[in-house]
Amino acid sequence: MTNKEKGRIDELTEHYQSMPRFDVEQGLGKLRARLGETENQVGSVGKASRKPSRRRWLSVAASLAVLLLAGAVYFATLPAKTTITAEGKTERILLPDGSEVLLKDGGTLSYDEDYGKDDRRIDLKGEAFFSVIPNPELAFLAEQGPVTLRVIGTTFNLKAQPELDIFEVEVASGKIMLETKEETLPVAAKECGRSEGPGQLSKMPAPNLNRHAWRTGKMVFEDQLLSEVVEIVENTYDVKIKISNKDMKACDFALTATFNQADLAEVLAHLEKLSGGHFLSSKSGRVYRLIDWCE
Amino acid sequence: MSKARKETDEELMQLLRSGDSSGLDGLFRRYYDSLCRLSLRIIKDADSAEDVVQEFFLSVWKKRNVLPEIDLVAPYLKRSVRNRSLNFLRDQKRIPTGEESELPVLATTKEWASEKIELEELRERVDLAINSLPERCRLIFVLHKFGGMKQKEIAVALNISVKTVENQMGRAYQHLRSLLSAILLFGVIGGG
Repeated sequence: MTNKEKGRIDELTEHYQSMPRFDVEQGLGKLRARLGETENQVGSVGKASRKPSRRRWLSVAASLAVLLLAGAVYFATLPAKTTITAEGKTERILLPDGSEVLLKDGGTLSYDEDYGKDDRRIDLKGEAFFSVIPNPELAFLAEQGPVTLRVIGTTFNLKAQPELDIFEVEVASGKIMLETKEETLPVAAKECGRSEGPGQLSKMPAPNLNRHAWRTGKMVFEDQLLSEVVEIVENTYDVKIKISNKDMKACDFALTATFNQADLAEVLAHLEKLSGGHFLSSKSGRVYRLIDWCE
Repeated sequence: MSKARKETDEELMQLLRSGDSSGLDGLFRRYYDSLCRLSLRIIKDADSAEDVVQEFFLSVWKKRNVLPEIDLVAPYLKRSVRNRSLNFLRDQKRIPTGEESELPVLATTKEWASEKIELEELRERVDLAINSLPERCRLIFVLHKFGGMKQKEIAVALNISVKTVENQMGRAYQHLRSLLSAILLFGVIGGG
């Protein structure tokens, strides 16, 4: 093997397992919870095997006090942060002001204790549907990198995946603002706004609110390109659909279809029929590849 | 968000030793992701990797009064998590011994060359290639490349000879070359 080949292999393998990202704040929350447990245990168990003398009691009490103090100091330094993760199902969350969140499986939502004091600030990783109680005094804010989503009161679907640079909002009612240092982009009902790359904002019509389909089960496509349809289907069923760029460039076509509470197999079968190709599935059933349709 | 954090690792460790939890928090925030990734690369399971790293930080905090002298914090953290990950494999009886199964053939190798692929997909394929190495081969490759272990250290850790480690490293590169040949030959990195 040449050194050049070896170097190329080293280079290619450099990013082995660089997904998933680990959620640091969630991890820290877990660590703190466990620290709390063990410190309490140490305090309460003590050593009770022999009959303790008074002196012994005093020393136990003293060390207990030290432990309690250490625990108190530890917890006093923590900002009180609430973090909710949806595991295995959609999670319904009521925020302190009564706004409602439906958090999609796999997502994490967090907010600080000062939520609702000067503003209403949340942090989302994943996807969620928000129904924000109107309050002009307290803006509802979500941030990712250079982009801020600003809401007075409305319903919308937000997808926030910092590791993939995705920040995409589809508005069902009312109006929201996407802001960066340079620009402000209003996004109205039945529109979808997103940030592309480093803080570039754009929007497009979204008459059928297909990005809400993971929750509503309803997808409507009217003369929409297969490439766009595939994106929606991926999002709705949480799968990956791979179509080679070459095929997509040469053979992308507009299609019309309505799905209501359909399962993934039905949707894929329909797309096979429309495209003339068929889907290969990965072992896990999470990745599909469309082949033999563009020849 | 705009809090200036300029403490060095060593200062954070000093805070931790003195019982100040902000030292623990600081190190945790700084290294959690990369330590979890190191562990994941060794044990191939994200949940267990997080557990290993959690246990480690828990023990650092509990033993803060009796921690050894540490010159440089980052290598210490890395070394500890690496060793704990190996112990985890040992406890799970997942340290491979003896003969290896044959290298599986990835069916898609040919197809790879035929299209420009995106960065994300490229990485998935490389992950797949590494994961399909025979386990002992994979483990040695990972420990060397990401765990920063010398051949001799690997030999001791896995209880095999240095010669075996050397052979397995060679095999790893050869397998990877054939598994990744399409990418290597055509240099197809599209997208990113």
